Amino acid sequence: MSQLVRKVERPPRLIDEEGRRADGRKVDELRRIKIEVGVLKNADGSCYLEQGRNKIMAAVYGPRELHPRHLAMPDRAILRCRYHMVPFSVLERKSPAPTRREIELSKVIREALEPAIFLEYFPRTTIDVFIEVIQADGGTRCAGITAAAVALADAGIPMRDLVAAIAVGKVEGQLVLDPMDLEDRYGEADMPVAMMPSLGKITLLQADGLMTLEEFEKALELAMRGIKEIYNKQKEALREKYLAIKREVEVT
Amino acid sequence: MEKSEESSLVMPGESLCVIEEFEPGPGAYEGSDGKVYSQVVGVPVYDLDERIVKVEKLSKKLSIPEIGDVVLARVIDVKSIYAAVKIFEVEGKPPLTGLFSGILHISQVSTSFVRTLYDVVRIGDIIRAQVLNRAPLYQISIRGREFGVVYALCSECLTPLVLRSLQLFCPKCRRVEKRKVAFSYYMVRRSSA
Repeated sequence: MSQLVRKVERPPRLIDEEGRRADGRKVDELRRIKIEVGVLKNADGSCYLEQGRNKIMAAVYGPRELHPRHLAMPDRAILRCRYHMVPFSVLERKSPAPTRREIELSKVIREALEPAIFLEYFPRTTIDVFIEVIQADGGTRCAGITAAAVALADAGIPMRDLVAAIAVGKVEGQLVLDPMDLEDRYGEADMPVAMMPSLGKITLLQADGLMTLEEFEKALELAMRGIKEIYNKQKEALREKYLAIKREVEVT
Repeated sequence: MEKSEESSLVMPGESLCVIEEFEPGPGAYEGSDGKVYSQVVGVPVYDLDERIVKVEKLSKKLSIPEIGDVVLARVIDVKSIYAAVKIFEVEGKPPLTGLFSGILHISQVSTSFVRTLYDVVRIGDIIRAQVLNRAPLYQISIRGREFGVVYALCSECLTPLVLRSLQLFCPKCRRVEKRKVAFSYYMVRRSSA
């Protein structure tokens, strides 16, 4: 708790001599991930995700009728995304109004999820995805995509694949997997990647900061490794819920 | 293609077979690499006669009306040849998270001639109907004995009308009203009526 309240100050070293990061992780290590499926009663599908100190709730509604109706497409559903951080998710209170950053992230998250969904099955409807960041500690757009993909699968919406996402950062000249807020702030680069892992297709690739071409290639490879790991966690979480349902079905 | 029964839960994007083995049925699709993948969380079923693989969905049924589905709807507007309705429940599917708009045309009321829709439904009525198309705006039909008005209020005093000797009768103001009444009038549970 005290760690969260205190102002984030730069420690003298972000990676020590043994290659340990500020929170004790190795450079290619993910934060601890916990995924719960179907946590909201009134949503068609939902997911609660914790990734280190990130806490994210994703809810999916639809396919349902779209208002205003002129936005509807005659041959497919549209996907609407809202990425939002609650006011208490960061150290300094954030205004609840959507910021430029949140509006842009909503758009890139939508574009990261869109290729995975069979939108053409549901003409003239909408599928709504809501991502609420309850506590933020860096890498929330990726965690949001990961959670939203699970929520979409939970809603029973036909998908080409799940989507998993992770960021790779560069800190003190070294590539690190899954940078937290501290490393993002004082690092030299940050590259979020989202993929449909079993199809091997990248649906989101952003980068800021400075990286050489070799570093970029290495970073992408590192991200893919992280994504594989997250993908297994997603499947595990879904399997856990639906194995219980399957057993129930078999009993009756 | 021998599959053990335990590992038979598949996730979206999990490969099921190659296209040469089985063709994709409901819940499966063919990827650009010629493999067949699952679309949903479910159990794959390999049909060895038809050479089709389908995935039986374990996740929630989508609560979206399909052709032939029986729905409950509230009438929100009546003109002489069509009525606008809001579908609030699809029978046999989970509760909707929103309303779907529908339209009832005079030709879909009965097999015999109907002069005006005002003799069939009124604003505020709850009707039981069948869906005729596969995307909003849904065309609905109330042809048949089991379809039509299942709940109506008196247009004078808003008392629920009761069915008395094949007529709708208001127990309070003794008014008699005209509707196309369903067989199950007033017996349907009125969830969001």
